[in-house]
Amino acid sequence: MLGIWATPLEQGLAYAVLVLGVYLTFRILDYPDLTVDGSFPLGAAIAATAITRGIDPLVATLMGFLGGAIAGAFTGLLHTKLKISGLLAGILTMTGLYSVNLRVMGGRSNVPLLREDTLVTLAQARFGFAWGAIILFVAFVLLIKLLLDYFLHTEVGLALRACGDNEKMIRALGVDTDLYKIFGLALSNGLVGMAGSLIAQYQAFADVGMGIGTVVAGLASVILGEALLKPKTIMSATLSAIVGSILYRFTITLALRAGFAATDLRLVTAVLVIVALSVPKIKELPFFKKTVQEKESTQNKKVYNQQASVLMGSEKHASD
Amino acid sequence: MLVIEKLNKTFELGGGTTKRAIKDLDFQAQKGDFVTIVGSNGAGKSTLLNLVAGVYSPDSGKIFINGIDITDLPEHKRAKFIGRVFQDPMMGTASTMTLEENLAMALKRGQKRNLKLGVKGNRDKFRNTLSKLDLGLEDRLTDQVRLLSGGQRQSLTLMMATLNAPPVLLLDEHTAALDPKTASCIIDMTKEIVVDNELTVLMVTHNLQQALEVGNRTIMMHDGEIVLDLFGKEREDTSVDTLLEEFSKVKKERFLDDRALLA
Repeated sequence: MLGIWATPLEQGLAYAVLVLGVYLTFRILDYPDLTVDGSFPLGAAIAATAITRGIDPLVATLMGFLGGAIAGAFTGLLHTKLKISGLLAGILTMTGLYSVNLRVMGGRSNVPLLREDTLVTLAQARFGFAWGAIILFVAFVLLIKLLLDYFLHTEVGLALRACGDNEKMIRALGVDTDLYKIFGLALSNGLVGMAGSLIAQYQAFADVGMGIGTVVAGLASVILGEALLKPKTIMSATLSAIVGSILYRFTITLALRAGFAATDLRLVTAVLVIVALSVPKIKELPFFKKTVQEKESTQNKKVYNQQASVLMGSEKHASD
Repeated sequence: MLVIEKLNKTFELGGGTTKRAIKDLDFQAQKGDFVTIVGSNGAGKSTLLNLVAGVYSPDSGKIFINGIDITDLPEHKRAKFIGRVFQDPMMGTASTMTLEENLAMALKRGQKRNLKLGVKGNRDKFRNTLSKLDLGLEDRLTDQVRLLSGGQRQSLTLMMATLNAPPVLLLDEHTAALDPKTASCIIDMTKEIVVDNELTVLMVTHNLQQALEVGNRTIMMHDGEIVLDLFGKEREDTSVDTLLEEFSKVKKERFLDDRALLA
């Protein structure tokens, strides 16, 4: 029934868990966290390995969350306690995680889940092949969105948001901002790890290379969602992250349909983010400002002329 | 009550040079004392406030609030004793968060924060608090703070700093960035709040008139030391001109500069 849109919809929903994590660091904490490229495959590796060892897939998914959370907390420690710059702290963790992920997968670069029971196969057995994954992921994403909405309005959640908005102020109100940042990074990467677990079960394998470009894809999703919904509240912002994730996968599908090779997609994504980030700056350039004004004034003139002609026309009509 | 004993702070300026910002400073202020602090740039006024607030830690000396030694407490653990309003109206509030969310954060000053909704159940309290300002802010609880003007933000900051009446209030030129009318409104509000809550206040100002009119005590700082401490009758008899003369005594060489700066 959904035709070619079924796959991007399923992917978009599963990746929405990751996009919520990226939203948490980039937008709430105002922290450019690159740990994601490592914590995403970490979650996948942990879940896949656990499932092949006979652990319940739901437990395995939660283990993926935990693994990601530990990776995020590590980045947070590097940044707050060792004063390593935010970007570098994430890159260091991500780089180290590559080796960790290979270890987790027992030295192999790929762990297949073809004959295993996963959350996806279980859901498909329960709700049918066509809708199983969608129902599973919708339930997951909605649950996480609602929990996150609630959390970000609690006393702890408010303080966490203030850490990204005005760190000095919230410290003056008695918040240990280092601790909160570590916690925020742990929560964010926990979600990213959980997304990795879900994607591994969805595609029925974990791969050590599956994390490359995840951060940029996540950021592209956040930006797309914001451009579409222009969120003003936390509730609408988390919703726009989810919508953005689905929209991003649709865009990728369209790009493939338009004839881009699958190998070109990362470039497409990067360009998408560059354009989205640079539009506000380009609008500020004097050259562009001028042309915008000119355009507006010519548009106004056109409207004026139209109105004038309408008036004249009607007068003419009346005089007739 | 705030007690400062033999406080010292030296900054490394790089290249081997150092600056003694605070020198063997002793100071006491009682509960209900409203102390205005004047002095030229580099006198150590802001450094003193930052030492009390815990932004810097002193090289030696002790700081007590209500008898509790806070010298070695990190900044965030002093918060329950100290409310602060900065010069920049943008610095005291979180701009992307709503008025009620900002107040909810201030309500938990220095306390343990839980996984309970922050705003729910406190709206009436917030509305009451803001209605005291007479700015109509009580009807804008769900607006983001970035939509407020500088004066409105500073009023909100003042409310947040005193919401649960910490014993000490630090004001660092908190009206300097505002237009004269808004500034005098904020000063009136400050006086009211201080009287209502019996706080100990340190207020840094460059406005000598204000320094003498507001509060019950004025100290002048120069080169990391308190060079003048006025209160009671002596303070009442002091005019801006005599204060400027005192400035010139302690700092003859740059008197003209200061006069231009302070007049």
